[in-house]
Amino acid sequence: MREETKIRLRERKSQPRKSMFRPAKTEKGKWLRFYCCLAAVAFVLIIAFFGKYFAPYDPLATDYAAKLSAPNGRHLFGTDNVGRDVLSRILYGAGNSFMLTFIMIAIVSVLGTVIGIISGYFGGFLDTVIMRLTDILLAFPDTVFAIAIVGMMGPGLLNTVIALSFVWWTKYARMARGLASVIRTKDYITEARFGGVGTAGILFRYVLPNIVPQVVIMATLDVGGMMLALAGLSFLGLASQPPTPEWGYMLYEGKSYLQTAPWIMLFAGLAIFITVIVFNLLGDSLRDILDPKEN
Amino acid sequence: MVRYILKRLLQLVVVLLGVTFLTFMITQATPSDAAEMKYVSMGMMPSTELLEKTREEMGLNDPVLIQYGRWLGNVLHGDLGESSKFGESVWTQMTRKLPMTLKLAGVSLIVVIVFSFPLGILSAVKKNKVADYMIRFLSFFGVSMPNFWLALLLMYIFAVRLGWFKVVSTNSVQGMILPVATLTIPMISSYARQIRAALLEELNANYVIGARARGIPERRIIWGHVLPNAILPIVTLLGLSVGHLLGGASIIETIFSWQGIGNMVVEAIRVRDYPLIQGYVIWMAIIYVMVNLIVDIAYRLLDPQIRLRKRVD
Repeated sequence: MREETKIRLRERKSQPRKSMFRPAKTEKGKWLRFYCCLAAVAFVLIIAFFGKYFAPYDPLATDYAAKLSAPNGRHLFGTDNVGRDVLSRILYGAGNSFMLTFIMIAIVSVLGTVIGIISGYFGGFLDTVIMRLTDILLAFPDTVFAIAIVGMMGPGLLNTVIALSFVWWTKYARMARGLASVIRTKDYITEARFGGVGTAGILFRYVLPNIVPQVVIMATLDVGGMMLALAGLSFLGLASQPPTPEWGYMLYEGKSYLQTAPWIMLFAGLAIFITVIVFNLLGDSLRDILDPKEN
Repeated sequence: MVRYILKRLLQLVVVLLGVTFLTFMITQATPSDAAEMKYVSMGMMPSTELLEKTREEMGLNDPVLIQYGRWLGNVLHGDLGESSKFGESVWTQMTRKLPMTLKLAGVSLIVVIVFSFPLGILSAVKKNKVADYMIRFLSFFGVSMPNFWLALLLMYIFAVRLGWFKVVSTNSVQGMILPVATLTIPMISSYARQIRAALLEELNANYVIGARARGIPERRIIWGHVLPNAILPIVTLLGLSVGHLLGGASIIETIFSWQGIGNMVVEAIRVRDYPLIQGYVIWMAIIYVMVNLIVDIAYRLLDPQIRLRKRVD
């Protein structure tokens, strides 16, 4: 791959996309927007983790008498093909969907950052090997390769986690590597080494703190994308196994009942849609505030 | 140029080797092997002895590297193996499904170009006017919409409620409208935004101020100067999107039962048809390297800076 293409690819994959709305002009406006987004995210998270206590029904309880009933007073979001309450399933599913998304983000960001720092700081042969590997992986769109890997290993939640981690760590590694290789040449690193700080100390006390803010921005911007990728895989029936309520799988079930019970797919999709929007907006505003390049 | 292309094609070989080896290793790590799958797909539960005998016959007891070498040798002879589900060669299977994916990808690409450029340009020229706000508002939704949800919504509204289309897509113009719409709405949204951003950035350049000062009409500035300059990064992105489309949008193809390669691979995954999945992975690897190559060549042809520098040399 030619160098220019590689750089462009890298930029596209490792840099957050353009802000969704006009960037705030004043410093005060930026913070105001940030707090608004934070409040929205907090609201979504509260629903996600405490929603099940408000759920009117057991998400697994079937009620054949009321199956496929449209949204009404007793079932606000209607019921599915075996009479399970859609609202309760969405509330319970939220916890599962979020948990999985956060676990995935934690895995890929830590894994990618560690590999990236090692690669960038030490350089040499290891660096070359790791970067060639990321070249190959970055050439594939995220979900397509993950689908192929799940295909190789067989459907299932654990395999989905492994497959997505395998394709997703690269962009964190790229970024951490770039930052680490710049930080390595800084004077304060040389001085610290003269001062008798060991390699581990330098990595943890000087290199890592300089990389973490960027990782946090990237991770926040990634929540929406990760949730979509997970939902997409379970929509294909490759990730979550029934009867655990999970948004992507609910959409998959809803597809079969598109003609008789469209509310299943309507509300499950709406839940994903709102979550993705809210997190994308938070990520954008966080970048506005933290990213030194913008100022 | 020819030498450059040859060098890149050589890299294709390296990437292919890497990707196929990687997928081969992953296949090895799976709990069920090809011998077992062969019987399962025939609906049989084989005894341990029979399984062991078949493994020996299929060469599954040899070291991994030898197995990989043998598989590679077959592939080089054009033999991608036999699909365990469909009982025909992977090659036949792929050549049957590929045209469908190519058709969907081609039409989608044309639709994206036809819609996103005018919208992006309009949005940039009418910055902060009503048209701009409307385009940005709609494209914001287009970008954030999960594509599988969009597909279901469109299907519900236009196929179930209005009855304009069939729920299961057919290989016809009418059957293509919904899948193409689902594929292109998010792409049009994101491209309109990117084209707008690229144009606005370019409009701030000094030469634009200079051209305005010399009294050149705004229309000529935009069409003659700004657009050609702003178009380059968009071409790169379009190239990457083509790669994505050619990989077969699995989710969309599955929802609309479009008999393309993305649908095929999901089906293959469900029944663990390893040879078919391998074939798909090879196809993907070829596409991505080729698309990158073509984008680079297009870049060279389109960018006057690179082209002219060449001529001076």
